[in-house]
Amino acid sequence: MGAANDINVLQFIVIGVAMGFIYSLVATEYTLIYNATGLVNFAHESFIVLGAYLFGGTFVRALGLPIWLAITLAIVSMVLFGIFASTIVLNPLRNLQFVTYAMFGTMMLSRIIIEACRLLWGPLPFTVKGFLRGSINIGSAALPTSYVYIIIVSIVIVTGLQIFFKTTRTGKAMICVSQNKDAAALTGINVTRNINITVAMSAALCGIIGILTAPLFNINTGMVASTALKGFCAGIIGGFGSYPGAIVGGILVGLLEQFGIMFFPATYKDVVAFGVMIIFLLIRPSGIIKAKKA
Amino acid sequence: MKKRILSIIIAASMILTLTACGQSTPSGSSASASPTSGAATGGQTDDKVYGDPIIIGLSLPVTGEQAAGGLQAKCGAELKISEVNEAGGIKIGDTWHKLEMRIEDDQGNSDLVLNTVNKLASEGAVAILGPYFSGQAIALNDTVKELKIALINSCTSVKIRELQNPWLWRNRCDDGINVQIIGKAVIEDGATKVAIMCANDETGTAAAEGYMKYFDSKGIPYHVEWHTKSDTDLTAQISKCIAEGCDAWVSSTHDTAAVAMAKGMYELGLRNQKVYMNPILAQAQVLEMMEPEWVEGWRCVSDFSYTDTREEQAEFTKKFIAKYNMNPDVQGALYYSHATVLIDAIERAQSTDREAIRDAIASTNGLKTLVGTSYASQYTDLLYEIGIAEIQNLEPVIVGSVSVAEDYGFGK
Repeated sequence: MGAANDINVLQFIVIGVAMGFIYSLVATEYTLIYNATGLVNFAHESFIVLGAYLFGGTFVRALGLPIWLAITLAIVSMVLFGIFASTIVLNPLRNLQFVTYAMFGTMMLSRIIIEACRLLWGPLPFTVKGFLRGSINIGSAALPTSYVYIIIVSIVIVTGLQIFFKTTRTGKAMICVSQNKDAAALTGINVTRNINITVAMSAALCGIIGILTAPLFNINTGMVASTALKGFCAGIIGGFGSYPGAIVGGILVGLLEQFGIMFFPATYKDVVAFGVMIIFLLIRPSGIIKAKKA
Repeated sequence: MKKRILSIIIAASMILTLTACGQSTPSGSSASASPTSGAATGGQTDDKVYGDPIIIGLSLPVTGEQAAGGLQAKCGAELKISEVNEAGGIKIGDTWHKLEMRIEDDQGNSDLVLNTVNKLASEGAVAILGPYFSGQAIALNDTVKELKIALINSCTSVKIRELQNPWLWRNRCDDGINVQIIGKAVIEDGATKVAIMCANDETGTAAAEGYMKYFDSKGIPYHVEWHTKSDTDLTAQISKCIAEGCDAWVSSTHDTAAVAMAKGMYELGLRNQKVYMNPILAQAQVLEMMEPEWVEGWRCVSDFSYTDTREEQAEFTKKFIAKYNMNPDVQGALYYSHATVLIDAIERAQSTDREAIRDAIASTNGLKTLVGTSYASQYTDLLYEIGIAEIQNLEPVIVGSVSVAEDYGFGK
C-alpha cells in the first residue's frame, strides 16, 4: 500500500452476494412461518440468537464439545424448541380474532427469549475462538471463510427445501396448508401437526443462521437485530410468501447495500434496504416474484 | 370459546412476563439497597460513632452492548469503596460514615441515563460515577446543573469541556490529548497517508476532527471513514482506505466495531500494519473476542494494563483478581481511580453537601490515583497523562507513558 488504487469492485460484489445469502436465509425463514400460519414471526430474531447461544455458549464453551457435535445438538435443540414454541404460542395465536394480537404475541415471545438468553448466558458478548476464521482469495477479492460457508449452506438449504416441498408427502401437505388451511383440513391433513413441523423447520433454520453468523457478529443478544430487519425487507422486496422471491430479494438487498457503500458514506448502508423496501411497497407491493396462492 | 380463553390467557401471561423482564433490566438494579447489604458497605468497628452511610451513585451499562465495560467499571468502583469501608469508612467531623454504592443500569443509552441520574439523585447520592459514553454526559448537561450533583467519569470527548459545566468532571485524558499523542506516534512510525476510522458518535467525531486538524497541521494526507459503534462489518470502509493508499491507521471507536475492524483488516490480507487506537483496544472483553494474529503489534493509548508490573498497579491487579476472578482492564482501573478522587473530595469537603463536594473536586491538586496524578482544571479535566500499550499475544503491554500536565500548568 502507499499508492492509491481503484476501488476493488469485485470485493464489494463478493461481499454483497455473501451478505445477500444471509438476508435470503432470513427471508426464507419468515416465508416458512408466514406460509404455514399466516403470521409474521417477530420472534424470528430471538430464535437466531437462541441458536447462536446454544451452539457457542452451551455446547462449545460450557461443555467443550467438538464443533460438529455442537452444531448438530444446537440444531436438534432448536427443532425441539420450535415444536414447543409452536404448540404453546404460535398455533394458539394464529386463531386469534385479530392478527394484530398475534403479532404482538410474537413480539413478546421474542422479548422473553432475549431476556432468557441474557439471564442464562450473561450480558457479555463472546465468540467461538477459531470457528470459521480466515479468508480465501477470489481474484483480487478476499472472502471471509464464514461467508463461503454461508453461501454453500444457503444454496443447500434452498435447494433442499424445494425438493422437500415438491417430492415429499409432508412437503406437499405443507404447501396445501399454506394455500388454504380449511381445504387442507378437509382433505385429512392434520393442520396443527403440519404447522408444528413447519415451525420446527423454521427454528432449525434460525439455529443454522445463528451458528453461521456467530463468527461475523459475535454472540450477543443484539447480534442480528439489523440483519433480521433487512431480511424482512428482502422478503418484501422479493415477494413475501415466495421462496424464490426470498432468494432474489436477499441477494438484491446485499448487492445494493454494497454498491451504496461504494458511493456514499458507509454509515448510511442500512438506509439502502429500508429505502428500497419502501419503493417496492409503493410501486410493486407484491414484490419481484409474486407468491402463489390458491 | 375454549380456544379464545386459552389465547387470552397466553397473551396475558406473556404481557405479565414482559413487564417482569422489563422491570428486571433497565433501572431496577442496585448493588446495595441498604446499608446492611452488599459488599461495598463492610462491617462496623467498636469505638467509632457511625452516622448514615454516604451514598455514591453509579450510572453504567449493566446490560446492552457495553455491559462488559460496565461490569469492569462497577467492580473497580466497588473495590475502592470496599477498601475504604474495611478501613472504617470516612470521618466527617466526629462521625464516621460507611460508603454505600448504588448502581443503575442506563444501558449506555442517552435517554435512559437521564432517568438513572435523576433516580440516584433522588435516593440521596452525594455524587455519581459515570456515565460511560460522552454522548450521555453531554445529554446530562442541564440535568446535573438542576440537580446540583457532580459526575466523575471517563468520557473523553473534548465537547464536554466546551460545555463549561462545573458539575461534569472526568478523570481521564481527553481525546484532544490522546489525538496529539497518537498522531505524533503514527507520524514518527513513518506513515505517509493515514486512514482515520472513527465511530460516528460524540467520541468518534470529536477524535476524527482532532486527527484531521493535527494531520493538516503536519501536512500528512489522510482519508476518513465512518462507522456506527455497533457495526459488525467494516470490510467496505477498510477496502476504501486501501484504495486510497493508506499505510497507517488511527481509530477511535467502541467494542463491537473495534473487533470488526481487526477482523476485517486481517481477512482482507493486511498484515504488520501501523495501527493506533483509543483505549478500547486494551479492554479485556474486546481482546477476548479477537484472535491473536488480528492485532499483534497494534498500539493504543491506555490508562492501565493488568500486565503492568509497577507496584501499585500490580497490587491493584492482584486484589481485583482475588475479588472478582477476572483480570482488571482500563475501565476497572479508571473507576477505581474515579472513586479515589471522589472519596478524597468528600474527606476534604468534610461534608456530604453536594456543592461542597463539587468544590472539593474542583480543588483537587496532585492527588495520586491508580491511573495517574489528578489536577483539577477550571472545568471538567482532572488527568493529563496516559500510557501507550502494545498488544502482544492478546495482552496489552505498557511500552511507554506520556504526561502533558506541565503543559497545562500543573505539577511544576
